[in-house]
Amino acid sequence: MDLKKPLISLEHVSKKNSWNQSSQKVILNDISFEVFPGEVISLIGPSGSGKSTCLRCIGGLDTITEGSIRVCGIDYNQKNFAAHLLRRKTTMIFQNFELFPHLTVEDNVSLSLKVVLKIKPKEASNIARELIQKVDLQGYEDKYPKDLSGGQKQRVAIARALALNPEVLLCDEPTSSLDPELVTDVLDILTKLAKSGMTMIVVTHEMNFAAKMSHRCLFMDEGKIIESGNSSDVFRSPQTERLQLFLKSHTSHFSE
Amino acid sequence: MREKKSSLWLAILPSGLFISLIGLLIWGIQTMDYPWDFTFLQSFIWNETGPGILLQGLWNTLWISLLSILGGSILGVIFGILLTFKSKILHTILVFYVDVFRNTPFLVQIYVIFFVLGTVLHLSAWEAGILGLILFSAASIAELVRGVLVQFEKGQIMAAQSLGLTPLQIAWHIIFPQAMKRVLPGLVGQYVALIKDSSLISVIGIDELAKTASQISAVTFKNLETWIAVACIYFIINTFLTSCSRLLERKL
Repeated sequence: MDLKKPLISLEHVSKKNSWNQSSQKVILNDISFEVFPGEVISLIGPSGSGKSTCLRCIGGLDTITEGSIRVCGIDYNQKNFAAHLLRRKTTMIFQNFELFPHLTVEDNVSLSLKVVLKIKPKEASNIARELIQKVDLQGYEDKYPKDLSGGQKQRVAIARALALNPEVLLCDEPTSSLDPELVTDVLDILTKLAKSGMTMIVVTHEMNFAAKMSHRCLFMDEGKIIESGNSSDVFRSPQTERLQLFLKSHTSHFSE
Repeated sequence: MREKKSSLWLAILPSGLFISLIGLLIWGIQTMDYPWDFTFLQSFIWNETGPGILLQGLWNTLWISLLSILGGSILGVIFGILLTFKSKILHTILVFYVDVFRNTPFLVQIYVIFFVLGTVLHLSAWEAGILGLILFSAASIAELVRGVLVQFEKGQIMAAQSLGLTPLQIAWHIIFPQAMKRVLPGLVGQYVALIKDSSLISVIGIDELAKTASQISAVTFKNLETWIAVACIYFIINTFLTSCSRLLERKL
């Protein structure tokens, strides 16, 4: 894997929010890592540690104050790329699904095909139906998001994110607002995707999923990467005290 | 917990109020001993020479309302969108405009627009009247639109951004269809108010419905009948409008 070029690389990325001169909040603090094609990376850490912000920055949905982010060889800080062109390569799924409530399931999936890629409606519909089948939702094409369960909504969101055939799928706590019995539905789909060679960065609180599915794991706290490494090593023998504490609290929570 | 039936009082109270109001009206009509007569209106609606002045007034009111609704909506939506922008100067100017037009009597606005602005810009009474209605309604509509846009879910916008949609595509495909539905009830409320307020531009001498009504009552001395008839006409127009919007709301 090391022989390949990295798909994503972050170099000394920092993000500071300053509302005024006196109070400056550091959200991301000198983050550097690389993601290679086909890799699944899990980002773990306590809430407020900057995981989601980091993901949004990679997706081109948030700005950074220092450092550089490159996705597919394109530097995000270069001014001559329009933001909407960059974002196509990195689609995202969200904790709260964020489906478009005024569109049917099929239109949610096919919207970007029709609007962004300018594919003809009939063809776009075919691609959308294929994707909906891929997330096991055939028969739901004409339903509206309000008629779906949380797990189904997230699966639609996955199909929608895959429509543009992205290089990377960014997952921002994909199962955090789901009922426990629906979590597996979504995780199964994500697992299937990971096995098919999709590059993914997953912010998650599901330690089992992170341990099993991801190749590498990054532990973040207070905007910094505290520990990183192969998932199996990180979860089996955490080096830092902070990660040990974090894993302890999270695994005991899940074995309840 | 068992399902509670709504209290009987909830039904009795409003219907009781309604019935007693009707009763009072009937009582008043009987005791005032007034020779009610609506037949004279016929000649003002239609006579040998064609449509009477009441019908012409209605026609003018409809035209004025339509033009003001169109103009006010377009201007109001533009101002509403601009109000969500972060430019401080733009914001201050627009908020000042909205406040001035919402917080002063429309009657005064009409006088100022006709006699002050109208003198400089050589506006006819018609132009000044319609301009006044447009500016007045645009202020309220701008505030309405701003409210809906500000409350729009940021998450949906972010999802659309991550799919590579341009800001304009997001506005058209995501925000517009949903904002339309949310803005509609308030918008129709504005239209209804506007149609009623259009009666105020009679003060600068436009022959719309209210102006013709006062002309008719000046000639016939039948104030009550004339104004009640005119009120019925406004009622019919506005009820038609609100029914249409309810139908549309259900469809959207």
